[in-house]
Amino acid sequence: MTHTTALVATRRARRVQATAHTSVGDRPRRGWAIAVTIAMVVAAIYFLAPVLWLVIASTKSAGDLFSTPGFAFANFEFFANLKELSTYDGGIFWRWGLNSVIYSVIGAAMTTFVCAVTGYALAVYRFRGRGTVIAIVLASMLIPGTVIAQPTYVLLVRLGLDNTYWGILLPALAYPFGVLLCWIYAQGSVPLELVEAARLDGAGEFRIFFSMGLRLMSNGLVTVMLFAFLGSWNSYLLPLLVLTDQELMPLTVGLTGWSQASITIPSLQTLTIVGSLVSIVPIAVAFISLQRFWKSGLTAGGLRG
Amino acid sequence: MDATKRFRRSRRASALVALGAVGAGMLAGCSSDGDEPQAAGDGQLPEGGVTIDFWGWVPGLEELVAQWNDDNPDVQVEFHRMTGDDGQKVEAAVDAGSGPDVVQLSSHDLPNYVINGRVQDITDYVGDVEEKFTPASWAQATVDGRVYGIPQGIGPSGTMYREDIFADNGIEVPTTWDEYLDAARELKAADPDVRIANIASSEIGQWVQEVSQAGSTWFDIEDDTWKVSVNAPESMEIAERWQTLLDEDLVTTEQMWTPEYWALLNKGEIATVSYAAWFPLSLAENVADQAGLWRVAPMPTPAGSDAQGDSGGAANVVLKGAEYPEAATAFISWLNGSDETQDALITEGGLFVSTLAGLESDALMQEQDFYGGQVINEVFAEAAANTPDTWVEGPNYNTASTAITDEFAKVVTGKQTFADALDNAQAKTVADLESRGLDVSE
Amino acid sequence: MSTTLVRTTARRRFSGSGRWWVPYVFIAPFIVVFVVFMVAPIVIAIVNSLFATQTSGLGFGGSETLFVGFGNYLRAFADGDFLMSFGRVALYGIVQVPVMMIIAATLALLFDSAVLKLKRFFQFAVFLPYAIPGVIAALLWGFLYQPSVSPFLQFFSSLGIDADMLAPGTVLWSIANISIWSNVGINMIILFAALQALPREAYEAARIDGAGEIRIAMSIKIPMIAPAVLLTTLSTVIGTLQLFNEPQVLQTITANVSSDYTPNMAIYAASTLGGDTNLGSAMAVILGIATLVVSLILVRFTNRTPKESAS
Repeated sequence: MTHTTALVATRRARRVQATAHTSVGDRPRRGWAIAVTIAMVVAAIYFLAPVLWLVIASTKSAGDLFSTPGFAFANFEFFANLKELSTYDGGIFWRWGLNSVIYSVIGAAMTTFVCAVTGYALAVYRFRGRGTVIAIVLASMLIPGTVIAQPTYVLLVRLGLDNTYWGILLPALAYPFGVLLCWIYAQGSVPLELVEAARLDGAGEFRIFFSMGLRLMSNGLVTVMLFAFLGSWNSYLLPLLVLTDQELMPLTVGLTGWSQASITIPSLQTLTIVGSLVSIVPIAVAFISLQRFWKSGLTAGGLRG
Repeated sequence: MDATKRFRRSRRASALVALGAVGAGMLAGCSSDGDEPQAAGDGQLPEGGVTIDFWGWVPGLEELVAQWNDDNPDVQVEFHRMTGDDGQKVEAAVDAGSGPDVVQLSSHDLPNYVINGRVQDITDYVGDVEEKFTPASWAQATVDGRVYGIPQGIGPSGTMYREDIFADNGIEVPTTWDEYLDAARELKAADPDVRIANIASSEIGQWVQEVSQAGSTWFDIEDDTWKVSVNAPESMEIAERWQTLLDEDLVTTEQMWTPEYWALLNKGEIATVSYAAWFPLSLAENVADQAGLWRVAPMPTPAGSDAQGDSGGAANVVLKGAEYPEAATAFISWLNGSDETQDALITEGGLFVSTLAGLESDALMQEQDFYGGQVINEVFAEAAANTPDTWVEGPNYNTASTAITDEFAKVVTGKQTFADALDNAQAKTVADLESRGLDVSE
Repeated sequence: MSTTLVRTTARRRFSGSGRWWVPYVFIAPFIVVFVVFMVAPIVIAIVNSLFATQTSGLGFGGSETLFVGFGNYLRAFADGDFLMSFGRVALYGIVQVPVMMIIAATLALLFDSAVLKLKRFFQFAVFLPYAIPGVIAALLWGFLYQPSVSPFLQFFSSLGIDADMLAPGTVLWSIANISIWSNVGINMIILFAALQALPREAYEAARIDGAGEIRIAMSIKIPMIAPAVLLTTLSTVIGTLQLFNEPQVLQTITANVSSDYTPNMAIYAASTLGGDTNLGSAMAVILGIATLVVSLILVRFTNRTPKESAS
């Protein structure tokens, strides 16, 4: 009996030890938590302060803009500024916004489709030249975009596509990184048994892709589309070169143009600031609503060793 | 890495692909070959009218274009306001075969455009509109005897100064550059926060105006070769004076057109600005609180001279790709030469017009409240009449001015002197011309 | 794994099924746009770089395009300012890339640990700068670097610190600041997602054994997300070599950024300001090759190290 008691005692002691271990571990945890929170708050201040400045600056009129302290409000002119933003030059700002949406949303959708089709084929089929394509895709990711910007422009002029929507949408379709991602996702999420089974059922290859393949890859496709969207949204150099018509410009080119013109037309400085603020809003909204996606989309396979 | 090995193995396939692309590339990659200017149109406009793409930066052009469009349903003009890099964009566009029909061009760039075949010869379409313009400005729009554009303003210099600062400190407004240096020292001694002026290393116009005032030039043609004289003795003298101003801390060194710069002016820390006739309007807009305190005087002169400077004018040119050069010429002739547009160009555009009518118009000779009721354009008109005609435009003004501004930036940070800067810029300019195959002498 | 077996069987079976052209139809769209918009421009750039536009005499007789072989390349290498711009971005990269990656990785690890409250809000804060297009961000910071406008600088000067963010010695790091501010968000998200995908068991064991969080992070988590780390580091390095937007914007407010401050700016200056697209193409090819070399070195380096550290 002493033996059992001894055993129980030892076990109890071990349990106590284990709890003691965790409670000792809790204290550093709490200390950690405080330190981490402070670090995050500092980081958040660093990242948000300029945006805050932008918000406050957007509420000021042109006269107050540089004569009042940056983080203090002056006369609240935000709605007047918004009105000016919307009506200047016939509402060109909202046209730019629409263009950005077209280039980024429709562009990303088209680009994602091209990448999906290609990635799927690389994963599912074996064909001659498959290795070459993969190698080329990987190698081309290392080419800096600015090397090809100027010649792309010349090419687009030859094709008669300069200063058109297609002139911006078509070059964006060549997105090797997207192909890579789609290839990885297809490998991970499209089981070949299913493809085989569908084939045996008599379904055509395209039917298999559209009804089955796309759906299986959908999480990964959202990720690719997100990357493509962000790339297009931030794109500046190519639209700058290719577009001369104000009506076709995205927000990046339009706002920068205003900023430069503000040398001779000072009121444009306020509009540039308000416009910049407004252009951030859609992305902020998109990010918030899609925050759940990173966890599922980006994890499907590719990004861990 | 696996992929790299595969890449090397599949080079053959890639080479084939590349070869195919080379074919396409050769077609697209040939640079423009100095084509003949487009064949002259016969002046007949197609049914339904034509649209002319016009790029410019003078404020108020939108309204004038609208006016033309109302009166000319057959020739509709679309205006694009130029900013920042648009000047270079036009060049790239025209070279690639696209681009606008008409563009506002600094007169400095005209020879370069002509050499590169970017503009059309409109000598045959201008008719007698030449009579409306001053001979000097008309000469700026012609190269080698052919007319390539219609003048749109000149840039005679003047010195805008704070009358109250000079008066309060008992300093006389300088009339020569020697007096200017003395005044600078006196000013700094009297009020340590105030400087006589600002040197902006990237505002090339403020350098050019003094070079032209001194009767010098960067380019000249001698015996069928280009002669480059960025570091001519006259320029070196100006460099010496600028060096003195910098070394004795008599000037501020902000970049122009920045909030920093306007802040210095608004705080009253800069007493004078020497610049072209279109600047007073910008000054009045950005330093509105100082209305009534500024005046305009002739720019100080070199010893024994009463010459004034000009930082360059502009012209509207018809570009290579324009399909209807005659209609385009008609538009720009009206825009710049017609009597009915002068007032708008002057008051809205802040332009110092190049037309004889405009130079005598009441709109030009207005009392300016900001300048204490002074008729400031009298000063500029006088300057225009006294500018030497020694300045010659050259083939790579852009390269020369970029070289100078880059070198001047190093001077402002104390890495070298203005004299060194000029020598370096001279070398770069000559090297650039030689690499293009042009005949150069120094 | 069973999928591999089935994969090879399916593939082998497929290539004999008669509809050989299907995969090619699938990859056709990508191949076409790739050739037209990636291969062709590269070839054009290379071809362009081998020619030069020459004129003669006074130049009014028109110009012609001549083959000059490596002439443009020699001119580019002879340009001291162009070479210095490479040195500059190299210096910039040596500092900026590790700083960016360390900040992004630290933030990602912090988000991954259960310790943080309000995770969503902080992630949003870190990511928001990325939503601002680079040029606009540069404009924004341009304002914030000017003492007369910037509340930060005014605050510092009230404390007696006169910080000149645009002085010759500091402007490069002011540019780095803009770049880090803008891009930490996207890098953090990628690393974070990769961390979230890791199986908890992998490091739970280590945690129970008493390993500290930092040790776990360095020895287990980071190596396990090596591909994501490589991806983000590589894109940061490429972005660094191509630095253009930020210095170009700052050039308008300070004399301390020359027209050829970075290689990309030099290319732009040569092609557009100088009107010499042939020289610009040669410089672009040089930049492209340099980027390729650095990237390959980086990939080689990272491929080797995980194998070593795992042992």
